[in-house]
This record gives sequence, structure tokens and C-alpha cells, in this order.
Amino acid sequence: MNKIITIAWNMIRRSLGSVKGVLIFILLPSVVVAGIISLTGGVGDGPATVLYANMDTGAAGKHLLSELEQTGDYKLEQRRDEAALKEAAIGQEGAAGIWIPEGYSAALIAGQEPQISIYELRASESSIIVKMKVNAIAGNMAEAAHAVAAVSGGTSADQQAQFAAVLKQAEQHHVGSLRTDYDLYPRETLGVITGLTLMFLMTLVTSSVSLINDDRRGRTMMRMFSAPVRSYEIALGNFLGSFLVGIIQIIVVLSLGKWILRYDYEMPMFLYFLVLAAFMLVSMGIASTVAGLIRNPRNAGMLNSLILIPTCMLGGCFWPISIMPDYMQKLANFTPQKWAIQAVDIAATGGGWNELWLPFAILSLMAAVLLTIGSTILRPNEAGISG
Amino acid sequence: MNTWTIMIYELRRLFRSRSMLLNMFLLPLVLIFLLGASLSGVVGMKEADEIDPVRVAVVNAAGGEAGTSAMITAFLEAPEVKDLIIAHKTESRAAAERGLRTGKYAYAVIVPSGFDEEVQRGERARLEFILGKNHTDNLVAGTAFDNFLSTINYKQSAVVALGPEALAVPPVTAEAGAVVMGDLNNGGKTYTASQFYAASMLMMFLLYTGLTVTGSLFSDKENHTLFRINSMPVKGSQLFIGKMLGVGLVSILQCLAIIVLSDRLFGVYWGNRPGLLLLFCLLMIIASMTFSIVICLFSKTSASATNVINVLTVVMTFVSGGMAPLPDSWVNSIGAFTVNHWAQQAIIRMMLHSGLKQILPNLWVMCLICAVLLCVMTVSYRKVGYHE
Repeated sequence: MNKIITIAWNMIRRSLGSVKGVLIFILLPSVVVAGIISLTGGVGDGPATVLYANMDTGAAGKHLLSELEQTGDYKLEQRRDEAALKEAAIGQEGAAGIWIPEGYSAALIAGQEPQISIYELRASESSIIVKMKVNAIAGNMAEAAHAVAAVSGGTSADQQAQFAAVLKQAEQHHVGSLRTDYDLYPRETLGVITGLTLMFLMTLVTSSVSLINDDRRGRTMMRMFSAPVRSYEIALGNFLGSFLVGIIQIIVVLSLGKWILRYDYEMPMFLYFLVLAAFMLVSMGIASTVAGLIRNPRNAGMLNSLILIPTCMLGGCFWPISIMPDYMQKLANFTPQKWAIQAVDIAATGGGWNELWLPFAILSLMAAVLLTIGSTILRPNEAGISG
Repeated sequence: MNTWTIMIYELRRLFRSRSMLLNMFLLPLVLIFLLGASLSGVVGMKEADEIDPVRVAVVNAAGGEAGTSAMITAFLEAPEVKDLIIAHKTESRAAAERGLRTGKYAYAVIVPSGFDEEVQRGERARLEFILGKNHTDNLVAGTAFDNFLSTINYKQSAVVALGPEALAVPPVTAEAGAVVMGDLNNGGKTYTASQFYAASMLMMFLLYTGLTVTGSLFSDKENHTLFRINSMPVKGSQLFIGKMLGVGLVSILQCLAIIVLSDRLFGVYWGNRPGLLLLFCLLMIIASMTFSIVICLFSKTSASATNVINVLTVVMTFVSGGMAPLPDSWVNSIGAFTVNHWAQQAIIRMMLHSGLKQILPNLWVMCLICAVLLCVMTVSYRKVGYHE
């Protein structure tokens, strides 16, 4: 046991022993993660900017915009004409651009089917919801215009006035809904924040596993094996060392977020810590498996960092898994990120261990398998020195 | 002469390593595919049958069968609604809340007594929604009920404003949708969201060139072959330039491979100005290489250099909005401090066939960034040098 601790302690000293080590392995990543946490947490909930250009002189265009504004989810910004709207959408000045054509109201009353155009540079949740809302309002306005045309036989000016009256009445929202929100659902930003934290953890683990790799390359591993230590002690010592470094990183990141940036994780810190620790074991397994399988140590580090991003995408670190097609969702089951995020989700909605055991069991299983395979990294004979 | 020898050796070294090749050429394509495939559901709207129906608790505040709202019942019985919502009649508000907390229901709707009558009299009528545990479920159920309510609202308004005849008007059957996706393009092919992500992934991989630089600079140091090379009649600068030329060439090849293959395999359209596109990629490569050279010169071990470059690459890609959709106010404020932002914006404009005038500012900014980084690199090379 003593020997294991010696090896582990040596590992920690090597990575965190110097000021530079603390700076690169602890301070830089924690500041980055904490910065992302505070920015995403602060900005994510604000209203999305929606651009518009309204060429319609009638009631319909105004009604559409005032209805959107009234939801409180959007900040509307006007642009001069269609070209300016397009340019602004390309410049990503807003999530979406709404273009209401000239004579839209008149065309509605005349029973034609005028169309509103929506411009978006890339799909995002807010742009999709804007599209749905505009679609619903436009459909209802078409119905109303139809009713006006059918009921009143007056001149077109009369019809315009009546149409405006109907829309004005609708703006009062006599029939509507009342939302009671007990904050049962986790905030959307929690998913993104967890995802990014997971990604950074993986990067960090890669660098501490590369220390083990350095030992192998520098033939230190060979010397270690010739000392009176058992091979399992070397394995445990090395893994324990990088695990402890990881734990320190997690603690720093979490406490920065919790006590300095005051981000509300919406769940017990201890549970969040457990999820991250379990995930870190798995990523240690991945890192060491890759490092063990690939002879050239430098490429191992690189491949590792590049395994990271695809699995993060697939595992739902960057966007919710639910928006992906079915076969991709099934593939996602093979990534540890998915299970870690699921565990956080369950914990944040107040689920107990009767639900939490599954993601934890899967994470531990992954960790066990990968670490076993990954312990080949400790084979001293393959130094893998090559260009 | 020496520079060429070193460059050719560097190229050979890079191309011999299989994992290197995998990394540089296969991985970007995998990523573009992953992005395209996972976000394809977002690009086209999801079909209704792909959405899992939401369990909704419906509570009749009046209690008993007498106060049941006919409108709500009719709405819930409609086949297109049944695909989205599974209604559960629940006894009381308390039971619904309990169900929401345990996850038995995903959403709850409280129908007040006399809802129908209030609607018919043109008075205020409100349904109460209680939000559940799942963001998507809340969205689906909330939208379905909101659409239903707003239809009633417009009907009621029509009756109030036009008189009861308005009720007798048959509904319109619209053939075309009320909303179309506008084409951002100024001529040329239609733009898809996967183009956006293809551009941002390309930028990210060009930033990862930095890792190749670390590999190249540190391998000789750590294998102690740098000593040997230094003892040869090779100038330090020749060695350095040769190595960087090799890495730069591979990056250019990588960039070309990504553009051509993504165009062939996934139909990503890269715009109408191939020359300018390549120029931007080149500037991006220069920026990323000089930047990582500076980092490498000042760090002692390859592990720490790799770590810094990794973190910065991911952060820059993320902040410029290349990974996950970010709030738009971000992209134009914080994002502007990243190299990716300028190149990516320009490439997207090229894909959309924007005029040259709109692209040129980005070009000048990129040139400026590269010039500054080149100066910093030269100064730090003079100061630190490349030796053991």
C-alpha cells in the first residue's frame, strides 16, 4: 500500500509540483470552465434577438410583430429592407429574420396565400420556435381574414378596418393560458455547462495520462519494474495518481463555480462531484487505452484529443441528445458523456438512487473495462521510441 | 538546400504515421458527418411521429363529469393531437402536482369550471398549465395547447368583432404553408445549415495544426536528435523553417482534402471564390502555426504546450459559435476576439455568394492578425531559439 501511495504522490508532485504546473493543469482550465459557466449561465436565459423587415402597411404585419413581442421571449430589431435583413442574418446579428412582404394584409383578405419568409443562418432552438410561432399566428390570421371576407360585403377599406378590429380584439387575449412554474425542470444551461465541464475533464485527463506515457518512453517504467514493486502496485499507483490530480481539478472547478461565480447547480454538490469523478475514471480508461494501443506516444496524445470531440458531440455535450435522429441516439449510448449527463439530469430533477444507479453502474462498468485494457500502457517493454 | 532536405524529411515523417493520417484526413470528415447527421433533425422540422407523445394530466377544477369542457375533450380526441399528447384524467390539482414531481406526468393542464361558457360569452377564459420536469416535453405540450387556445382566441375575437355569423364560416384549406424558409443566397446553390458547421469544423482543424507543430518541434528535442542535427552544418533557422514548411504543406493538403471530400461526399458547397477560400485557409494556417510556435518556444514540455493549444483551440471554436449555437450577441462581441470568427464569417459569405466588398474587411483583419503573430514569433524565436 505504501508503495502505491509513493508512486501516486510522485505523480501528483510531477504534474502539480511547480508553479507552472499548477498554472497549466489547474488554474487555466478552471478559469476557462468557470468563465464559460458564468457566461452561459448568465446569457443563456435572456431573450433572443429576432430581426424583421415589415413592408406590410395593413394590420397583419403589425399584429404579428406585437404578438411576438408580447411573448417576452424575443427582442425585435427592425431592418430597412429585405437585403439589409439578409445581410444582418448572415452577420449573425439575430437568431432569425422575419420578412413580411408588401401588401400582406390585403392579400390575406383577398383570399390569396401570401407567405412570410424566415431567414436563418443556422438552426437553433430559438429560430425553430420563432418559425413555429410565426406559422401559428399566420395561420390564425388567415382564418380571421377569411372570416372577414366571408361575413362583410363592404369595400376593401371596410374589410381592412374590420380585419384590424378582429386582430385588435385578439390582442387582448381573452382566451389564453396561465403558466405555473415550480422549477421542476433543470435549466437548459445546466446541460451545456455539464457537457463543457466533461469535455475539459477529458482534455485534462489526457495530459496526466501522457505523464505515464512519458515514463514508458523515457524507460523509467522499465526501472520501476526492476525495483521491488509488484506490477499491480505500479498500475494502481499510476492510476491513483492521475485520478487524484483529476479530483483536485474537479474540486477547483466546482468550487470556483459554486462559491466565486455563484452558479446554482440545482443539485447537491456532492452528487455532481460523484458524477464527474465517475466520468473521469472512464476518460482515464479511454486515454490509457488509446495510449497503450498506439505505439508512437505523441500521436497517442493527439488521437486522444480528437477522439474527444466526436464522442462529446455524440454524447450530447454540445446539444441535447433528443434533437438527434434515432440511430444517432442509439449510438450515443456508447459514449460515457451521455450517461454522465443523464445522471446530472436525473439528479437535477430530484431523482433518487433508484434511478441514479443505472448511469453510475454503466459508467463504472465502462471504467473497469477500459482501465483493464488501458493498463497495457504500463507494459515496460514497448518504449515506442520513434520519429 | 538544407531547408528542403529537412522539409522533405518532415513530410515523410508525417505521412508515415498512420494515426497522423487518420487524424488529419479521416477525422474532420467524421466530424462534418456527425454534425450534419445529428443536426439534420433540426434543419428540417421533425415529423410529428418522431416526437414521443407527452403524458399530460388534465384536471377538471369543477370536479365530476358535469363540468367537463367539451372543447378540451374534442381537442384531445383529435387524431393529430393524440400523436403528441396522451391525456390522463386526474382527480385534483394536488394529484397532478404529485404526479409531475414523481415523473408520472410530464405536464399538467387545469381546466377551470365553466371554461366553455366563458369562451362563448366572449369573456376572459384561462387554462392553467403546470410545467413538468423535461424541457422538450414542456415545449411540445405547451405549444400544442397554446396553438389550440390561440385558435379559440381568434375565433372568439372574430365573433366579438364581426358578430355570430363569423362562426358559420368554414375553415380555409391552405395549400401552401404560411411561412417559407427564405433563401439567404445571392444566387448559386441553396444554403443549408451543414455548410455552417462544415466551415467551423474546417477552422477548428486548421487550428489543430498547432498540435502538429508541437509534435514536430518537441519530437527532436525529446528524442535528443536535436543535438545531433545541431552538430551538423545546418543553421538553426534552416532547421526551423524546414520543419515549419513541412507542417504547413501537410496542413494545406489537409485543408484541400477536407474541402474536396466534404464537397464530394456530403455535398457541402464551398462557394464561388475558390481562390479567396484558399487564401483565407492559408492565413488561418499561418495564424495557427505562428501562434503555436510561440507557445512551444516558451513551454518546457510537450505536455504543457499541447494542453495550452488544446484548450485554446476548443475555446476559440466554441466562442466563435462553431460547436453549439450560442446567443447571437456573443458571436459578435466576444467571438470577434477569435481568429475563427473572421475567417469563418468570410467563408460563409463566400458560400452565400456575397459581394467582394463584404468579404474584404475580414481579409484585412486576418492579414493584420497574421502580421502581428509573425512579428511576435520572429521576436520570440530570436530570443529563445530552437535548441535543447
